[in-house]
Formats: sequence, structure tokens, C-alpha cells
Amino acid sequence: MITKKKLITRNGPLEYAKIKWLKYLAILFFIILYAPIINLIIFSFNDSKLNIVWRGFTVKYYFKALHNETLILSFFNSLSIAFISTIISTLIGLSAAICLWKFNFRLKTYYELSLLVPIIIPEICMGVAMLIFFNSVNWPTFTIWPLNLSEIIIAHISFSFPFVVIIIRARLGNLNKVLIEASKDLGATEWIVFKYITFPFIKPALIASSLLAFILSLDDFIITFFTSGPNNITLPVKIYSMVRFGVSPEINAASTILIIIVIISTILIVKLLNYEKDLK
Amino acid sequence: MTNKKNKLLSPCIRINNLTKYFGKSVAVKNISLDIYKDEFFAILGPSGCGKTTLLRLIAGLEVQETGEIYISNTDYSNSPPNIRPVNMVFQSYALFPHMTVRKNIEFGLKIDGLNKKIIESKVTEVLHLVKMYDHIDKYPNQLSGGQKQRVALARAITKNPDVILLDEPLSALDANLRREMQIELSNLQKSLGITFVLVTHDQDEALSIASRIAVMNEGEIVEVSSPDEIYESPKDIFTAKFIGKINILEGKIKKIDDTFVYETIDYGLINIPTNKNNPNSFTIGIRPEKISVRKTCSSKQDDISVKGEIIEWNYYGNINYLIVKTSNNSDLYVHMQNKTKSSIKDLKKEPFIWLTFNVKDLMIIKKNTTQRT
Repeated sequence: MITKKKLITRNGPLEYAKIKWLKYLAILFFIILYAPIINLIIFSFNDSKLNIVWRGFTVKYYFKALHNETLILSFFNSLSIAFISTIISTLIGLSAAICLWKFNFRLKTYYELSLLVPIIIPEICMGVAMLIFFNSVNWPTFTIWPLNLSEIIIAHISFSFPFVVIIIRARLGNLNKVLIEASKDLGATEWIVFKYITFPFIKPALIASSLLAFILSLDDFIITFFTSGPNNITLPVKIYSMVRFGVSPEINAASTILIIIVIISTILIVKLLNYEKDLK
Repeated sequence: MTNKKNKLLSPCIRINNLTKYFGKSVAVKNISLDIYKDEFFAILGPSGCGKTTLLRLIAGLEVQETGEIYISNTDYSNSPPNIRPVNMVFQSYALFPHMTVRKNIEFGLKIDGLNKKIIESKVTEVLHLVKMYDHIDKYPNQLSGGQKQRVALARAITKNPDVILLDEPLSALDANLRREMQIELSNLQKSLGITFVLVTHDQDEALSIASRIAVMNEGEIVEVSSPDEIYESPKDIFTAKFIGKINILEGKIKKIDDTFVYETIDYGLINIPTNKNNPNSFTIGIRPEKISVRKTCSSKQDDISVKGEIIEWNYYGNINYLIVKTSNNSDLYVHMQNKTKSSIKDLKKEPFIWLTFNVKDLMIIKKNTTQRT
């Protein structure tokens, strides 16, 4: 019989999660990070015109927001821009990623680096640049949907497509080229290789990157602010203009809706990126 | 040495003056080769000798600088891989990870546009053939190495190509499984009647399953022969050294009365059989297992005996790998079977032993090839 000894649990050298003070510190950081957002969501249900003291639960500001025509229009604009710019930037991004993966050409590394420019450039500069650009080319003002949003859509594509390229390019880097050789050896043409081998392999990355492009477009304020006219504002721009007349729970309600859409999309992205691991 | 019967047949694969460069280094150097129908042909060589490149050239996965490739009398020199009547089994198996075993095998058949019933029956048939039918709905990551190997093989067989190319297919398997698969591959080739071309760096593998072997070194084919020819009477010193252990007997050639005599310090004068077309400059070698270890000197005719001391023992259960220092300070490799339980114990008692070999077992090897190791 082995005599029972009192087990002394000691932390292993890499078990940081078991260190107590680190745990509390982490919780503190979480509170600091998320308190304002949680506060915003809670006060969207506040039954008070002024957002300072809690006066009881209500959903009337959601109804109010839903009946605010310009707010709804701006929300509709935001979604239209996000959808259209996502589709176009995904297509361009996919083609660029495949091109970068498949072909070697002169100055390829510099081209890959240049993709980072829209990501690292200060948004305010990008916004101003877009404003000047559309002015200098005398971009026509359209009145029909979705052409009235064309300036914002173009601006959004320009900063979201590099993300698509980078994500798909990274995924393609993991694709074993022997699989392509094997499929060609079995008689596949380029199109069949793409349809049955390459595309299924990059599909999770493709969906994740297009969702990212969607969120980036939906979230963007600065660049949109510079490229939108008085009749085609988006939800973030509308919220900003509303704030100038005082913060009402209606703004909280509109912001909450935006946050929820973004959170759902993010959860989808994370799930899809994890799905990649299962395939290996 | 290709036998005459084969030469009358038209080759299944004919390669003419094939050359392939990678940048400045040459991977395949002006190779011409005929591979006949129903052969199990092995391309054997050390790593980096260009054997895999040669195979990939046949498959169309690489494009040659010069030369032609004919498969079943059709010129496929400039054809893309998808129209060549060959299928490859890749070293890493290259099974499609997002498809089940069934889908993997169907892939090539669907491209051919066969109807569903034929595809279904072909898949069933080929999976029974490689004993993988029970795993038909599994994904490749649920299979072991040997099972993946079988699926990869099935996928190549199912398109019924003129040639199946195997790129070191067994190198990732453990020793026992490898032996098992070697036998199965060999049986499969016989029953299917498809030409197999196997690339390997494993001498035993090539010797045991191939009907003909091409030995490659530094982008060139050194020798093409049957396994026993290549092992027992190699024509090139590189082949002799690569295909197995060999003892080179140092000495000089002398010509006395139309017969060649090989003068050695250790073994005296050795008469070389004259019936062979001996090259002008040659060296003499003997395989370690042709040397027997005895306690006494042999007095038989054509036997050569030399006294020596065992300086290294390597015990492998059934066999002993010995290094013996002869009285003239040259080392000989000797492989000795453990024929009795006490054979080692008896031998270890002896202060010195006699090594005996027969003149008929000596190999006469061309010497004037470029210096290789």
C-alpha cells in the first residue's frame, strides 16, 4: 500500500493562468476595457432623456430610433455600402491573393508591401486624400441607389481589400502544392484544380476575410466622413452628428444595434478561422 | 543487360537525351532510357541524384530543357501532366484532405466523365484490391501511414494508366510494414499488368521487387540491369559500392600469356576468368557474404584463404557483421550467418581465424570511371 501523502500543488513554470494576482489584474483590465461599452448598452434601456441617472427599464428608444427616418436611412446606407464593398473587395482580394501565390514577377515583394499601405496609413490622411481625389476628378453626383454611395464604396474597397489579400494569401501559403500536382496528374485542368482543391481549401479564409471587410466597412467613420455628402451619410456619421445635439438614449440604442451586428460577425470569423485547423 | 526478348518489344516509355537544369545545377544529364511493358522498373540512387526529377519529368510535373519522352509510342514531351497516360503515387501520398477515401478515388474518374454506376463499381473494385474497402468513408487524417499509402495506390490504379510512377512510396513506413507492402506492390504489379516505375534510395527494396534496375548518380544513369546482375556482377564501381557492401582487393593487373592475372599483396596472384569481356582497366571486389570464416585454412582448388583477426563485431541476431584485419593490415568486411547457437562463442575463443573465398565469386569491375564515392 502506498501511504497517502498530502498533495502539494505547485504551479508549473508555464502555468501562468494559475497565478492569482495575474488573474485579478486580467479581470481589472477587462472591466476597464468593456465597462464603457456595457454602460452604453445598459443606458440604451434607460427611461430618461438625459443619460446620467438610471430611471427604469424601457425599450422605447429603440422604437424611437426605428422611427427616425434619417437614422434608418443612414443604417440602410451603411449596410448597402458594406455589402457592395465587401463583394467587390473580396473578388479583387481573392484574385490578387491567387496571383501573388501562383506567379513570380518582378518587384513582387514590393507589391506585397504596398498592400500594407492602406492599412498603415493614418485614416485621416486617407480620408483627405479621397476627398481631394473625388474633387479633382469631378466625380459625378448620382441620385439613384447604389450609385449615390459610389464614392464611399470605392473608398471602403480601397482600405478593406488588402485585408482580404493578406488573409487569403496566408491561407494559400499553407496549401500543399503536391495536392495540386496530384490532381493534375489525375487529369484535372486548371479550372477543376481551382474548383475542387484550391477553393475548398481557402473557403474558410475567404468567408472570414469577407466578414472582416464587412465589419471594417460598417465601422468606418473617418474615411466615410470625408467622402460622404449630405444625402448619403452612414450610421456612424449619423450617430456623430446626433451626438453634437446631445447624447440621448436613442444614440445608445442605435450604437447597440451596430455593436450587436459587429459582434455576431466577429464570432462567425473566429469560428471559421478555427474551422481551418480542423481540416489539417 | 537487357534481355533480347525485351528488345523486340516496343518500349512502354522511351526517353531520349533528356536534360533538366535547376538554375545552374544539372538534375538530369542527357538520359536515354527504355522501359518496357509490364516491367517493374526501379530507379535507384542516392539522394540528390536526380531520380525523382526524372520521374517528375515522365509525369509532366517538370519540363525538360532538351529531350523527348514517348509513352506507348506517343510523343508526350511537351504535354501537360493531365493528359499523360501515367499516374503517380507521391512520397507524401498527396491525398486530398477535405475528401473521403471514396471521393479521393472518384476524383480522377469524374474528370474522365464516366457515369456514376461505372465509377461506383470501379471504386469498390480498386478498394477491395488494396484491402481498404472498410475505410471508404474515412478522411485521410483518420488513416495510418500504411492505409494512406494503399489509398494513394488505389487512386493511381483506378484510372488504369499505361504506367504507374511511384516516388519513394514506402519511405515513410516502418520496416515491417515496408516489407509487407513491397510484397504487395510486387503482386499487384503482376496481377494488373501495368508498368510500374519505382524511385527509391533503398537498395533492398529495389533488389527485392524490381525486374530491372537503373542505378543513377549525379544526374546520369550508371547502369541498367536485372537485380542479380547488378548485385553479383556490377559493371561500374559506383554501382558495386552503392548496391551493397563490397571489399575492394587492392592490387595490379598483369598479363601473362593472354590471361589476365591480378597481383595482390594479401592474396597472391589471382587468375581472372578470361571468358568475360574484361575491361582493360579493372578492379576486383568481393561481397562480404561470399567470404566464409573458418578455423582452418582451405586447401580446395580456386579457394583463397587469408589469416586475420576480428577487430569489430556487430551482432544482428541472425547475422554478424564483422570487420577482419588481415595479416597485411587491410580490413575486410565479412557477413557471417549465425548457423548454430554457439557459433559466436566458438569463434570468440579463437585468437585468429581464416577467411576463405572462391575465385568464382570475385567481381570484375570497370575502374576507369570518374572518381566517385
